[in-house]
Amino acid sequence: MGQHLIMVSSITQAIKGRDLLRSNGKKAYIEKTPSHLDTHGCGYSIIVYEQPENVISLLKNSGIRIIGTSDRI
Amino acid sequence: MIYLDNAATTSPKPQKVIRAVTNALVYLSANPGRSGHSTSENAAIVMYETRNKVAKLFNAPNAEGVIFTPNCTASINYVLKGLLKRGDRIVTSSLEHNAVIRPLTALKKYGIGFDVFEVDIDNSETTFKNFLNTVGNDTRMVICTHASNVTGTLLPIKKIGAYCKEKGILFAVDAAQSAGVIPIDMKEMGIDYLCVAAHKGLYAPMGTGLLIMSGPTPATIIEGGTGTESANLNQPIDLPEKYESGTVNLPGIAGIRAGIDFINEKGIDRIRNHEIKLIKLAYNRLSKISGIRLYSSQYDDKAPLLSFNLNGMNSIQVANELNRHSVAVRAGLHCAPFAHKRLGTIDCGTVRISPSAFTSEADIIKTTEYVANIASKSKAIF
Repeated sequence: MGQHLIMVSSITQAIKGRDLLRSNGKKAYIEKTPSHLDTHGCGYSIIVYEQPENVISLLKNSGIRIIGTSDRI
Repeated sequence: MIYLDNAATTSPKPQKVIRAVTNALVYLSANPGRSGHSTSENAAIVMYETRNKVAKLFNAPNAEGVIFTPNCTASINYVLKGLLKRGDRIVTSSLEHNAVIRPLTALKKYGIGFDVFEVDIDNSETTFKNFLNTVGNDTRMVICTHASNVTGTLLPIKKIGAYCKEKGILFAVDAAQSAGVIPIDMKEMGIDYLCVAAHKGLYAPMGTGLLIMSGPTPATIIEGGTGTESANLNQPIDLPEKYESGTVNLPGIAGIRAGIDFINEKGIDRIRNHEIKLIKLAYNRLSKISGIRLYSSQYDDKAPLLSFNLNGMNSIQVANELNRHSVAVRAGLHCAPFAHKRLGTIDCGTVRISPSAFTSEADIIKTTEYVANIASKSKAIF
């Protein structure tokens, strides 16, 4: 099962998203966005184990602004 | 020491708060969320959990609208200076602290005016009528204190909030004296911006304030590093970081979290009942002293603090005398000249006593005995 990054602007948004996904029974953790993906600088990512499309609407509906997604290499 | 200056800042702080602050200094001394290492992330988690607790305590719509500030005054400045523009008119009350009046006065030079409604310290219905007579079609915002820091008078916040919602007027509340002592429900009270002194009723360390927002987001008055979107030269738009430039007071924030746990365990109603009981005890005992003037007639529906003067003595003299007996009170104008003009005490100020959850009946009895002694001696002098 691959890992995928959902990039957000801040650690606050990342923690909120992680907690939201976990409360919906999904596995998620956070880490700083790798610099080669981080065009805005100092961003955080929520790492998920399913296709980001499956969870993005859940995050957006809670007011989390998604900056981008990427497969973990 | 008998500490009765809790309206200025609560003392002592609960052991729980002291432990949380110490723990943060020892184990969480890292810039929250900035660096990506575990200590930095753990510090950020403390901030996030604290925001959630604050949002829950005041029934705010979300945790991101909880902004950590240095104090309640800063929170008020963020709201007023970030939202108001030339031509706006503001309505405020006659019992405001300088935290509200000075920024409003400073904004006059930018073409922003304010109107003042008279607070009847013993009749909230009259106060609300006065408010309705002052607010107009051109009012953009109402900002007022929830509880006077001089008389303890509660303003009819819920009614004012409902009116503002109906008319589309922004509503900001200075809850410096009420947060943690009187239940506040932002949604139910129609509050768009709640400004809190966390070092008072939330028992956090000094240097901690909160701005809790549910209304339109103000422009920033401070810009800088937020640890987010660092490649962007413009201030980030996401809350809460938009308003938290520079390194935050993490030990203080850990103290806020522990302070909220403290008041939740005790119960806000229990704390208030305890403090009101003490204020009533003080009122009853003080009112028997000849030559005393008390600046309120009853204490059931007020914030737990009390102001008085002794005939022939300046309030500072009385406070100095009490200090000699190791009783800490506040005297003077309490940064609220508007309120003192209303009370007729602008020249002499008042002596204010304000208990906390830690104050005992014995503290009040001893203090009122000292006041009686000071009064009798003053008669001998004057």
